Amino acid sequence: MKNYKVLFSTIIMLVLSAACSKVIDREELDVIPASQVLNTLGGVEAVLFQVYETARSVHENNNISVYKQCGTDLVVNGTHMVDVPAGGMLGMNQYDAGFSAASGELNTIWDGYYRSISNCNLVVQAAENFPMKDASEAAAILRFKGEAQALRAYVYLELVRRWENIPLAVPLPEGSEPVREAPLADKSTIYDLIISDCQEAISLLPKRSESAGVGAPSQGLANLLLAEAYMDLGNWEGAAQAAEAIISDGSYELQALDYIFGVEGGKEGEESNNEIILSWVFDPAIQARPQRTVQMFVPLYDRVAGISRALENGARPWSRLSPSPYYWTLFEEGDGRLEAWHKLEWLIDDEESVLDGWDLKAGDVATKEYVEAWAGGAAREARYTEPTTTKNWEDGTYGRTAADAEGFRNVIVYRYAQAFILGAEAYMRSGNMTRALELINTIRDRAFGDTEHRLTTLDENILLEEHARELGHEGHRWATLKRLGLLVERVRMHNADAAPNIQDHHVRWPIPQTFLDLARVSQNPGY
Amino acid sequence: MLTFVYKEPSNSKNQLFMKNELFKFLGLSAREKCRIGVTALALCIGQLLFAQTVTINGTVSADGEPLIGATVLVQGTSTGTATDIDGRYSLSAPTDATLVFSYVGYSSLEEAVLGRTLIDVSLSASLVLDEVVVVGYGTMERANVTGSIVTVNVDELAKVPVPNVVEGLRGQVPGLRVSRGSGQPGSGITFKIRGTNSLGAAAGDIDATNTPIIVIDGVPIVGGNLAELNPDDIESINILKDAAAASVYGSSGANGAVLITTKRGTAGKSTISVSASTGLIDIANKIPMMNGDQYLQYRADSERAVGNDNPNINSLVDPNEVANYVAGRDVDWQDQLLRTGMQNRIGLSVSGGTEKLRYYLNGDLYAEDGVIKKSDYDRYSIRFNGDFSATDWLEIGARVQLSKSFADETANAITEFNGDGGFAPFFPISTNTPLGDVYNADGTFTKFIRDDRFQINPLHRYNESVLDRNVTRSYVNPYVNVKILDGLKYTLNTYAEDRGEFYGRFWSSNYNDGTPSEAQITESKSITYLVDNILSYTKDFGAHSINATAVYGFQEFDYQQSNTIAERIPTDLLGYNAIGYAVDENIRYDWSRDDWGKVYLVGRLGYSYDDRYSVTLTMRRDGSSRFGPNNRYGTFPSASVAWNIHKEKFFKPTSDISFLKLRLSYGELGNDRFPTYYYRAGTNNVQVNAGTDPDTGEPILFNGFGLATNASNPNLKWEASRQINVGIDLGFFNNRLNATIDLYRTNTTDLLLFESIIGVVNNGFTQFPSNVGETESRGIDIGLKANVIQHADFTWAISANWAKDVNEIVKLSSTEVDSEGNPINNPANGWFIGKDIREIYDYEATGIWQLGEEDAAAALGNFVPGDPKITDVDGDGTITSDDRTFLGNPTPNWYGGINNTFNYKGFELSVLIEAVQGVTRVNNYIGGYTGRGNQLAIDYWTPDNPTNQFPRIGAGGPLSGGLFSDALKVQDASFIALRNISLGYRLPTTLLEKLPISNLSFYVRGNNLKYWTDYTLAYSPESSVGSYPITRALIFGTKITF
Repeated sequence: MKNYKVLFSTIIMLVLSAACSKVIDREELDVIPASQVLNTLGGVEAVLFQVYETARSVHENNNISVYKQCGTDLVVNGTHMVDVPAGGMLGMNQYDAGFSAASGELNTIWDGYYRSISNCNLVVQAAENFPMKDASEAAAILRFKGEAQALRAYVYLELVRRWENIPLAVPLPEGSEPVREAPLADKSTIYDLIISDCQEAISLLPKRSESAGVGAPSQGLANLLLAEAYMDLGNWEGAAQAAEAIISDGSYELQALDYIFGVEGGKEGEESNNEIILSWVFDPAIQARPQRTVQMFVPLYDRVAGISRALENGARPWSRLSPSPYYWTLFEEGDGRLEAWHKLEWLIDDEESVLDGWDLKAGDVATKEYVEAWAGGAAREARYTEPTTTKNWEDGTYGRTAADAEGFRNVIVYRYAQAFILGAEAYMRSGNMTRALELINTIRDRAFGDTEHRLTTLDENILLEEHARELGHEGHRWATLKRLGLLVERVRMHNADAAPNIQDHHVRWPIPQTFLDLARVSQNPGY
Repeated sequence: MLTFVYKEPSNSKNQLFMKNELFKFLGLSAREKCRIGVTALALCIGQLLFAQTVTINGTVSADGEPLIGATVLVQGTSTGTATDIDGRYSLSAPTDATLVFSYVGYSSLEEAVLGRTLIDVSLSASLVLDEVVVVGYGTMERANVTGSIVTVNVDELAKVPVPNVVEGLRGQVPGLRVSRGSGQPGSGITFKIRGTNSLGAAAGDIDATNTPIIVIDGVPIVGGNLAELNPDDIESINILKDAAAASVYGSSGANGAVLITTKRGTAGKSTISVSASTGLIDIANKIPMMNGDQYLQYRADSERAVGNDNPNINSLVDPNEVANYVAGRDVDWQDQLLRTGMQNRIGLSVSGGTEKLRYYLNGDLYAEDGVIKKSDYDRYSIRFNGDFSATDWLEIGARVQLSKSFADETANAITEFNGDGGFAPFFPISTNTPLGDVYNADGTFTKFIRDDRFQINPLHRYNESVLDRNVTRSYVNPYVNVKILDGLKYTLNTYAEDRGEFYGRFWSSNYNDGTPSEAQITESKSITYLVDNILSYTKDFGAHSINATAVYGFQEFDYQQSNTIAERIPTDLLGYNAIGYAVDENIRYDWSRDDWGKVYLVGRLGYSYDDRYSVTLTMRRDGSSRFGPNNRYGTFPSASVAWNIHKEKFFKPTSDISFLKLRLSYGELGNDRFPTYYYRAGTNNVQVNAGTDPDTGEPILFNGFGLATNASNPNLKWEASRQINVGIDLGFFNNRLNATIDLYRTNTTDLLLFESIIGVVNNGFTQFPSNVGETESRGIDIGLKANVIQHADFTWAISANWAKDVNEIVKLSSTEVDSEGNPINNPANGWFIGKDIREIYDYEATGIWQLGEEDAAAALGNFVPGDPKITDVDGDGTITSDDRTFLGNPTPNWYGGINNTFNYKGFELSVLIEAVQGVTRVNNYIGGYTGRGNQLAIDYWTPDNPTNQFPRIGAGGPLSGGLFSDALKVQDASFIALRNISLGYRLPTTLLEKLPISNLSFYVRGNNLKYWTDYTLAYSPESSVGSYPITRALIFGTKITF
């Protein structure tokens, strides 16, 4: 009997314990380990697309989505800029105390860009050692390398312009202990890398017309980045040459004014127009990743009695930024860009709500006098129908409703017209005024729809004005003013919100405190 | 006899409901939802058996002296009585019953009636409290226990009318601190044994990381949610506090353990009991929001504060608010959204059995209508515990539980501004303008309460949304006991649990303006298995006794969740059930998994000599899938000794001290509460529109896997705690007064932290999971029990507890050191060396700068009258970030409770008071006092109101943000709470003799009745803005035993 008991217990114990060996040796069921990524072609491509995704993600973040437009002579605070964190666009536009090393938003930009660079490094490294099976794999891997280099140049250019003193990212062999030091590199080292990356990318990448579209890095992008970098370095010949390469690329054509920023026809329609060199592509198929630039330049028109919130009115408004008064002074009579790229007035569409004592019908303009009367002397409310730029606006093409504070239109990074402006400046500075005027007048001819408004002389000031009219609020102004040493002076003159605060040291952004603490390097002067 | 009438389903929702006399009798209305479980059990009442009863008399004595107030109980029932001044008793009992005689400080005695009518007994003093204590993987006699284990008085627990067992323990156990931050029906609670050891950095939730494990019938419960356990099913609760006791739980024992044993049947007559209660629930404290006048005044004051001397009312509020103000219409959003809630409960249990087969069956319904509209919770649970002695050496049995809860959480549907510090579900209560519009002209709810549509009407949203959460939890816990040899026993304990959670949400097309309808269904499933092989050996060799246990087992957990969200549902009539009708492009789907496994080997050797000296040695070896491949196994030893001094010959038996025991223990424990697969670098899904294929013209949507930002660490392991505990157990006056005092120190090393690393030079990895931090905690727990008065008609018992725990950070990450290698602070995370883990480091505000003090204010910085007076800590004459200082922390200086129980002729009154002192919190109910949102009505500074309470308001004001906004909200959250009162009456047995009822009692109970605190600008001193208000309850109930 006793034996049965022992046998019985032993059998159960053995049967049940047999299952134990697999209990703790497990593989995660729904996540691929990082070590499985870079040894496949799809993995390398994914890491590359992550660069794209991360670089793009600044436009997904409400607090920084239009940071490139901030802090110049072309913008002032919108009425509700105060609603963003002090370290976000508010500080970036006003240069006040929130614009500091402690700003979490600056840190987000820094981290995101450096993460992009790390991924670019991994792709370039993987491409150099990748065991290619056939010619199509070889072609793909070379294109990935070129794209990674072009994107690396893009990100480094943005980093070095904003911060100047930045570390150089180097890949770390897998399995190594974390590295705890990251010295700041000399500015020239960074520019050398940008230029060599651009040059190599030009040789590896297809033209835009042969590429996957506006989202894919192309020869044109690499040339534009090269031109930008040469401009920063004062290499006018190099810059002019790169600009010419874009102009004669064959992929690009100047488009009708109202077509460039349109979304009709979707990603294959206006958003793929041949003026675009690079866009960050957003897609409603990826619902979780919308962009948040569409509402930033919309004033709070819908608060005004008699005007309702509607898609054609700008849908949901956030009013974070507003074109500066100076910007509006730049447009001459007949400049088609004023009408095509801006909303200058709002119409009454809800008669019943109109303020008592005002005889306004649907379709009438909500005049300044009316809005001021409605505001009852409140200065902020009186600004609720101020004119604004519509370059970022989005209609219902991608399912956006009037209640959505986000959208899925692409964010245009570079377009063809910029090559003409850059080229004009490069030629002007290198003494070829004829070619300079030829390039800038191409842009003016389109703007006015005739040849009557051509410039006959060109200087820095004229050029900056044309730059504002053509590329205003597209994110190129800050770097241009900084390059010319005019940032502080011009912001003081035209950006009332920043004028009392901006100091000479603001031409360099403060290095995020978290990086300083970890790397123990010195902060940019003045912070 | 009770009758039950079933009604066939009559409505389209196919719901079964019942009316019955019992519900009517109890004042419960038949609710719409089905309550089959309870009814099924009720049918068992039909099986009532009647045995002949006799009246039994006798005396209870000890050492020849009569015992006054000794308890005499009919076993398996609550029929009983107490002896009178002569030690005499008299009660009715069936002829086949067994009587149980007990008296504090004496061994209890069981006597079968066997038809007798006179039974005299003599109890022998038991200087050792001879209860059996449940320890991990076995039981132990109290006398031989060497660790720090508290046995909870389950009777007192039963008097707390809360559905969660651990909440019932609040204020009753020394060193156990229970707090509740949300009053939401069915929501969980926070509890800790001996405070905080872990920084909680790995799991992201410091409370969760420091929560003890809960073990039910030998099975550690994954997730530890006790909302689904019926407190009535609990036979005993033992709390393992020190390392010696908890080290058998190895890598998950660092926070202590709560061991719960469920009830089982005992041989004897079947006992059937019905318990039912009903009561009202309301909020513990209403918060003082501004009314319309105050709001408009505040708006004007905040404009004046920024220099707008004569603000126009149109610029202060919207036109509709002006109209409401003029018409004198005011909305109190608390009144709009809060209501008096209800708690209903009914339970039926049947237990009993024979020597061979014993059973316990209990069905229970708990229903709570929350104090916020559209927040209801119903829970049904059924438990069956059965034990069968198949042969003289083989016993088998199983514990089975099925519970199902249905929660209507529509009140939580409002989430749109949630996240990012924005609005939480109950935000409307604390921000909606009191001058808003609740109704449209036609009597329907407005969508937005202000013209500018920036504030929503929650009542409209409630009508246009559905949010259901249903949890089904079922488990079987079969076991086999084999007596192999004398004293040697093999136990196989197995467990399989399936817990499913359904979450369904729907926003109608009318929910918001211009946004399409949206439905979401999330279904998750957790499966847990456990197998324990336990070999135990108990043997006495003369004065030597040995108690040895060996365990080999494993536990596995698998979790899966599927989540579907769809927009543009073609109908609003079917709620989320129409989710499948959305077109493909409007549907999103996610799937996620999680799993872990653990294998372990446990050994425990207990030896005691002559009941005087006891030693316990334990060792556990854990293998866990959570640990890095290089540290997959861990070993957790402990050693403890105890000395029963009162058993020594030199100890004078005449002394007032009747019991004296010393305990000493040391052990190592782990904390594995961190996410699975945390040791390795993961990937992210990358989905990008990649343009158009230049060759085919087809659009490309790239979908692949890129890199995540967490670096891998194959050396990752558990957090390790080493704890030393010294305890003393004392008994005085024949153990009428008992005291237990424990002192301990815990050093926790290898704390899990995400070290920030430089992404730039680490391939973009910015977080490195590592075991680097170190903390120390120390404390003292004191428990007291006294039978102050013990008289035949009147008894008074006090049970009190007091505890203090302090913790400090010793070391942080390897980079957080100065040039000499000494650890330095991490202010970004609020961690400071030598300070409490949750220390508040901020400016100290001592008052307000008044008019006339302009110069002094300006000298200190950019201050003007109305600004706070900030202490210049470093004395350099200006306020900089160096003037921040340590303002306190949420760890109490001490906490405890005192419970008084009075018995008088069938009446019983219990009063539990809890005190938590020395708690500092940042009160985030206090808002920014800028802009158009309602605020708490506080005494803020204006030039005309030179208060020192709160500073000036408005944009740019010190409360609105910036450096001092938190400092101004630091408040003392200490409190004393009247936690529970219970008044019960048990009908005398003489009255029940002619009825088939052996026991009938009624009671009224209150929970959370009153807080005495300075932290009044909150729903309770433990709650935070946006969370569900804390409630109090007043419950009436009855219990009938047949």
